[in-house]
Amino acid sequence: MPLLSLEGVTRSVELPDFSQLDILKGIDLDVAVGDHISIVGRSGSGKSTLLNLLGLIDNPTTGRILFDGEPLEKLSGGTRDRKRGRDVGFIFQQFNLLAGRTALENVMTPLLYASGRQFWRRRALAQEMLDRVGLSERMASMPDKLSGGEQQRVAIARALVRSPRLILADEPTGALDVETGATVMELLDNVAEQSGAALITITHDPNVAALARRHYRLDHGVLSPIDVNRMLATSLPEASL
Amino acid sequence: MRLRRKQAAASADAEVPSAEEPTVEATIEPGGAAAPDPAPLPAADGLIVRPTYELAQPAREPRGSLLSSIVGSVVEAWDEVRINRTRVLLSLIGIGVAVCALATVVGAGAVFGQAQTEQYEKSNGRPATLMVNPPFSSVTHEEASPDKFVDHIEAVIDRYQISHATPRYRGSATVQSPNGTEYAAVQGVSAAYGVMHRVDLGVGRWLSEADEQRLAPAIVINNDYYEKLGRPDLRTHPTLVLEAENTVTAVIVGVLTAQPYDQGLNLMMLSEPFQSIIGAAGAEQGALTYEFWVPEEQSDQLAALIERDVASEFGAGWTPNVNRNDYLSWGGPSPLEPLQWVIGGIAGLILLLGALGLVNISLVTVKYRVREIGVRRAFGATASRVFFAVMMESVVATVVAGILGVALAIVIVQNPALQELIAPGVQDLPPFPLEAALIALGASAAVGVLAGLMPALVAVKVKVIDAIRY
Repeated sequence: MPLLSLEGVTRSVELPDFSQLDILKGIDLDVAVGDHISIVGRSGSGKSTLLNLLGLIDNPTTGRILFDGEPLEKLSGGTRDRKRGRDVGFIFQQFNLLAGRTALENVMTPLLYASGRQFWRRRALAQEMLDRVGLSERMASMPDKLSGGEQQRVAIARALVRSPRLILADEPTGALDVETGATVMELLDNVAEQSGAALITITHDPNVAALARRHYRLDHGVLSPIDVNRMLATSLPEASL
Repeated sequence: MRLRRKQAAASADAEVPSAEEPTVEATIEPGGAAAPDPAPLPAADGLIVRPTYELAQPAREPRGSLLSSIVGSVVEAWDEVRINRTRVLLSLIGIGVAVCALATVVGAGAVFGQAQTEQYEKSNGRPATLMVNPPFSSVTHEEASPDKFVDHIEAVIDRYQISHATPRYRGSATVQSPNGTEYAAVQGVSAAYGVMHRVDLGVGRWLSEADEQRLAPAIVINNDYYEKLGRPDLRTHPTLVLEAENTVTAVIVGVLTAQPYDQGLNLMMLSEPFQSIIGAAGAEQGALTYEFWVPEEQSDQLAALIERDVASEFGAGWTPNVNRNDYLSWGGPSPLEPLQWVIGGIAGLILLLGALGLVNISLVTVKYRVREIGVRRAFGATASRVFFAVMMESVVATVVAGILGVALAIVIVQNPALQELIAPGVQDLPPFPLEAALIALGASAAVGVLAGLMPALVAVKVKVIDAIRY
């Protein structure tokens, strides 16, 4: 049974002139535990909307989304929020580390919404996670004292500290230079693979997309498989890592 | 522990998910053979990444989530207060000052109220004070003779074991002084009068039962006349010559504290010398009253018993006259109620202004925290949790401010200079009223809830992805 399934998912919004804009059209996607999927697409192609749906944040207009085979529309808002916290880890382009909090406190943040052992041992778990991403020496550092790569590694640690089964990386290298981006992606790929979590990377960079095992393009709301090698061959040199 | 990892080979060029996707399945068998330590994975830029398998376990929400939610919310709120302490401190100065003002006015009101109460008790006796006047004859239209009345009352005191009782004789005498002959208002009382009427002495002592044995009667005079006498040292036993039915030299043993409108010469002595010195010549008509200080809950019953006894002693045609005149017997609202309303109104207004300031700052702050709230929502914070956390930030902050405000209020209210200013001469200074502290803390928490309500509602409406990409 797939971890996450999208079945004929569409998402539309009503514009001020009462016309309807179809952002996503008939999306079908199965994501299994341990999967690594990349989704590329230009700005305005519907990537953020798809991210909302994959991250259990938004509801489709039509179609349905199943998590562990359970239709999400049956879940209450609170249950869905808790499921998101427990099973989904987010990595953002701008890192979105909480200002004024140390790297350790940032990684502890998702554990505040956990319960039981994860909640009460949140400091130890966060320390362990930062150690895993090689930041054991920077635990007490504030985000503004960390480099871009270090900040994204903190963000990765934060995304993984609750042991999610699905990691959503939204342009994870978008704010990094090429070399740091490659390092961060390698780390993310490794950590995701070790944990057995599914990793979905949403990017416009074909080289980042190439690290995945399955590749999709989102174009005008339509999700379709692509041959990443052909895309790399046609991509501009400056876009490569 | 044994780890079993199954992974189907994924087709490298597969463009659609195959029926058999890669899966990881971890099982833990207690007591089983230990799995070999997973080897470090390929380093990314020198990073050591240690494999772990426990992450693949579908997590289940453990029990006890309510406790961790509450603790988590408080931790979150405290972190927010701690991290933004400067902003919080600035926003809470208003609340702290308001709570301090609230606790101060309530606390000071209690001290002032005590002063008022004592003033009432000085005039009319402590609750419950029964006043017993000589019965009145409906036949002769005269009061009973003082001697018969006194004998009867003394029997009543013995019968009901009344511990605090005093006669109040009122009369006058003339006093020879360097300024000539002066009029003196004289009261004859018992030693118990001092306790019953909170007699407050500026100098010297109150009358005692031993003073009955003195040849030169002991007197207590008012402060105004004492000043006129030039504040003589009481250790030198200053005297006054009183003339009424008899002329006698009386010794000043005490001086009452200064009171408003305290003029002329007012003096008090025990009832025994009063009767011999002032006698019928100086006594005023209807100038004898007895006062009993009795437990309030027994006062009505005792009054009825005394009336019955008087009626049986004096017979038909005599109307007993027993009533209460302490401030609690006046009926209607408490004489302190208007004062309490005024003080409460001022305190409420102060707190309202502080709350409005806090709401303003909180709303602005939430606008700046949209991204942070979005991140928290993305990591599993439910709408109710965000609501509660934002509300708790406000409550935690205002309660801390409330505690500091109350502490400051205690220091202010317990300051002797302030106490002397608002309640000069008060005898039983009340401790800082617990209700003032509780009211102030409750008000600060309530203000925290009210001030946090609007920001919390705004926070709940934050759209997660929009906030993150904001």
